[in-house]
Amino acid sequence: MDRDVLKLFLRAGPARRFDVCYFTQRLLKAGESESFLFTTPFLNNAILFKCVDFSPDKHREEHQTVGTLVYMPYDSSKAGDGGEAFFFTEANFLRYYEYKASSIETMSSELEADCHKLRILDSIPTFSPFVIEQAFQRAETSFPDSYLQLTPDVRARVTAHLKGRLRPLIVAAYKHSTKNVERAVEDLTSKLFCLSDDLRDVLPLITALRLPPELAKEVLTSWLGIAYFEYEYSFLQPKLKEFAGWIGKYSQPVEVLGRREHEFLVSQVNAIKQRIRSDWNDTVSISHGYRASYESMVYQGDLEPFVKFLKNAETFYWRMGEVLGRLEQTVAVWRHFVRHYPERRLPFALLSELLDVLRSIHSTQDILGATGSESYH
Amino acid sequence: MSGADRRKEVRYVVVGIEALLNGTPWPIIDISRSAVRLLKPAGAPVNASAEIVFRLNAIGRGRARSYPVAASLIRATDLELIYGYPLPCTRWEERLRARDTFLQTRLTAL
Repeated sequence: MDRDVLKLFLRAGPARRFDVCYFTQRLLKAGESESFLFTTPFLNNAILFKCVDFSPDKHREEHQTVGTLVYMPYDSSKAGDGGEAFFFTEANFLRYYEYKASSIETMSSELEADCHKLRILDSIPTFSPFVIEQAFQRAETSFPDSYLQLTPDVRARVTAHLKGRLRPLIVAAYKHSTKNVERAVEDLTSKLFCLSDDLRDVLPLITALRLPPELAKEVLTSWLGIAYFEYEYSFLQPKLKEFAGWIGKYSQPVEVLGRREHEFLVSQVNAIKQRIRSDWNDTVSISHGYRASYESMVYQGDLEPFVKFLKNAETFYWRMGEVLGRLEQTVAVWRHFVRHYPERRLPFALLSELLDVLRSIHSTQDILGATGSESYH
Repeated sequence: MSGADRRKEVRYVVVGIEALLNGTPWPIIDISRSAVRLLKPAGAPVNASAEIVFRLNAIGRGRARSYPVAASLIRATDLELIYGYPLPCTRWEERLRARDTFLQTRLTAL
């Protein structure tokens, strides 16, 4: 991978990039070094990226399409100038730690705690602050607020949105339950909102939804995650449509091109458009499926479509997360390139560069595609 | 309004609306232009008629509003209560739509 791709990833949005280093530097300036996220120093200067995992020793489930790249810049104030990285697995983390710390015989409790945090961060499809916070709550592991850009107002709004969705569902599910529900549904809404490993309280719901108990936590978390992603996508939608309008109207350069160059450019633009449209429409299709099954259950009392939807909830959740990161980055990159050319055609050189970048974002090779190495120079 | 007509109404899953039943907030399951389905807290009394105050949060530059209505019980189960109510204001349904979580996050094809 070259530096251009690295710089491109450094410009990704919060769904795809978690800049631990930025928050650490902020705490350092405020003199609050005791509240760092990790105990291992190099991790506190890392930047984490979500990207497609092509590694042969892939340890994730089939539906977990993205992994976590841990990138440590040589100079934390110049992250784009290169650094070292590893794709997170427990073995890779220990290997890198050993290389940095010279020796390691057994995993200390502090190291285990850091590894546990990385495992949690690896277990989610995006680094959206709300998704991180929920994942750590579910894992009953503390996470410093100072590493999340999540205001109380936003947190309250998202929570109210998701709980509003859960309430009718729980009522509908309990109508199918043979058990007598004496516990207040509102209490169960809160429990379901932040599921721990102890599922006893929501067992009647799990039974009503015919979920295997061993999969229930992941499935219900994914279902809630889809509702959350719909919320995030709804903010992205107008920006992406603005981009779509631009690419439809202004994706020809200012200069007059020869036939061959023109055809090449058109083919590039079409390929990018097709990929983005396909990604977006996949998401829309998941959202429609989600809504149709919800309505069937809540308003018609028909459980079947919902149970069927839940069977694929994990796959849908990861797919939506993966696409969200890509599309969010697309909009950010596009805005950066056209910032001096609002509603205008770009010069050929700049347009070509933008198309190259967009192609990199939407190629299946992703960030690791051009490298097998663990260093970024 | 007949039960059949009421069942044809669009039901909204809203956020930013509070229903105070005789002064106590009750969680809303869903709401249509003339009926609201409330979650029944365990052991809560059921009254055939009640005053419901709908408190709507402010959206954008708009202001928060409250609408008291005289509601009458349509149906009660162990889990829920459905109350019918007269239209609180002329633009009521518009206000419900503006707070519906499904409408606010609706995604359309590109």
